[in-house]
Amino acid sequence: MLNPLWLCLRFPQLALDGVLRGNEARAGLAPELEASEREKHREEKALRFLADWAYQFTPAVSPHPPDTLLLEIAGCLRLFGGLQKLRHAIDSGLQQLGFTCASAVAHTPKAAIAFSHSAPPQPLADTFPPSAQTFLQSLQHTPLAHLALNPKQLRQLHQLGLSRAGELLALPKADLGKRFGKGLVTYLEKLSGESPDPQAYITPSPCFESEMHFPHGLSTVAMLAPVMRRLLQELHQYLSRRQLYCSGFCWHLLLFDKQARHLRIELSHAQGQLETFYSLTQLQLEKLVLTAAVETLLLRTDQLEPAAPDNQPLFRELSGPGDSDQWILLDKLRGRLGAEALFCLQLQDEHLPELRQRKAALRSPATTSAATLAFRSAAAAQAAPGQTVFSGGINPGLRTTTV
Amino acid sequence: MNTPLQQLLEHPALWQASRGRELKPSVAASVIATGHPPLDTRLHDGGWPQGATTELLGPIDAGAFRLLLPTLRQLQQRPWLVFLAPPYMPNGPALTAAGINLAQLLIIKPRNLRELLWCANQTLSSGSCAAVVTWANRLAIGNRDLRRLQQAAHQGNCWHVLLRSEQFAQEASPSALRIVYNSKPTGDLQLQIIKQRGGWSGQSLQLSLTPELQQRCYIPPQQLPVHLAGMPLLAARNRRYPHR
Repeated sequence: MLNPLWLCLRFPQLALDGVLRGNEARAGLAPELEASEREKHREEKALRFLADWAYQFTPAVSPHPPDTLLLEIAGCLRLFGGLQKLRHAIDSGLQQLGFTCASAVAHTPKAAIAFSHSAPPQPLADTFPPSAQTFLQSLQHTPLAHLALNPKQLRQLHQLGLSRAGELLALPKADLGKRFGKGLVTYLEKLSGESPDPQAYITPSPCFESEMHFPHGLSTVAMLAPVMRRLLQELHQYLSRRQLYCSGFCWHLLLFDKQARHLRIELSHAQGQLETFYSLTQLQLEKLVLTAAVETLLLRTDQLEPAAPDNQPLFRELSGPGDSDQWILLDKLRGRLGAEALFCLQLQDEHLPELRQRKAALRSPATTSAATLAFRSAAAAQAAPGQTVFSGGINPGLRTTTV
Repeated sequence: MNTPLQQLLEHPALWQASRGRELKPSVAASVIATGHPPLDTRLHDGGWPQGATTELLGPIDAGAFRLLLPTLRQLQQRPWLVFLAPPYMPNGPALTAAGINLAQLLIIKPRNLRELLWCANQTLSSGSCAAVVTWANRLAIGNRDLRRLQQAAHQGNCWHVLLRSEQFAQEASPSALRIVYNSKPTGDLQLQIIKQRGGWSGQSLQLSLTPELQQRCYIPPQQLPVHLAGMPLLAARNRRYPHR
């Protein structure tokens, strides 16, 4: 059986990072201290966001509020090319997101949390996961203060003359239970891996949500653009990791004067391209009028669908532009002019000439579903060769195919 | 001899009047047949220039549009056919009868000149439009903007038709082909080419867009029979029931 391996990610500055990410430039310009109230719900949101983010590495992500994430990584080491590469990927990813993190690897969840407290964490250069002996050795040397003990127990243990976890583990369990209660014994058993320690894993949230706060506010549209690009980049990464496409997203801008602005961007063709998202956002930004500085910027989407594999022509030079280009053009036009400025004509079965046609909004034809395909092939099987088969689609008008 | 001047003279894009139609094969890389053989013969490249702007200067009427119809019917490979700022609502049944797929037709109504130019630029350079027909009419488009549109059409390899008022015929324009048109009451179209690539311009011709109507006997309104005598008056009102 594969030995479980736990990676603990502890965010000692979560309260600050969760609120202040995106403000690096500002922090550099105005380093004076500024006191503001701690916002617990934002920390919870930030931890949830990080858990969703960490889901890209392993399906076993377990958040431990207020500031810790546990990742079971034994199953995904090979995929990421070893422990060192995996930890490097996680570290650099967190750095990009703007979070400070202390990480540690151990064979039990409780030990991983304890290790993450030690001042210089285990060197990142570990290519191989620690063996069981190394793990036990480093557990022996862990100071008692790093274990999850309550202050009273800690004081009592110190009075006994104990300072390392090894000394505590060496004591007989039955006597420890009598003196400190059953809780401590269970904890120690879970710490050393003698008894199982099941964790509750997250289920990834079905929507994407990321936000940034600006205590000083963003007063101009020009200042908003790079921040929006950064959030869109997160969305883009989220989509590519989950193999999803997005068919629309919404920006929520909360202003200092208690007003909210919503920029809703609809795509007629679900996709995951950052540049398209950004150019459509910019078109909306041109029309935006800000009455006050922006305090919170939130990007949210729940219009996600499984990514359709992108069809590429075999001979690129023989084919025209890609299928999705036409919908990108349509979204751009719609973003700038509004939906009512562009339309197509649709014929109607009416006697009066003035009612023969009507304006129709442009919609992307739904991707051919399995049901349509089945219907088409069944119809094709029944039809005699040369007979015309009508195949239905969402596209206005019937398309005919001849078999 | 390989002087810079010689190099310049050998450049395929440089047109020299003295060499006449020699350069035709290299320049006329891509044209679209107009569908009107008399017009094709008068154009040095033999058709509408693909990836460039064609200016049609004249009044707003259906004449110019009928001139374009045979070509628009052919251009259905790419997803969209764009009508930008048409002065009237296009008639769907008539377009269908003319062979245009309405599902591909995209009609855009910009609010002002700026939006019109932006839309034209976007649609032309996107590469997903077969043709863009723009009704600019009396809107004054600057030389710089025309040049930009021409470049966008080149970039997206898209046929751009710009319908403008005749008043701009005297102004210089970077468009590849400029034609002044005038509809005759007989249904014919009088065309005068005032600029074209690959050779001299100045050709003029009269196209009959509706050859099937050539057979009918056309009498000008002045010659229609008129009742010269006074019209018969109505009977006098009934005296027994005078209407007050």
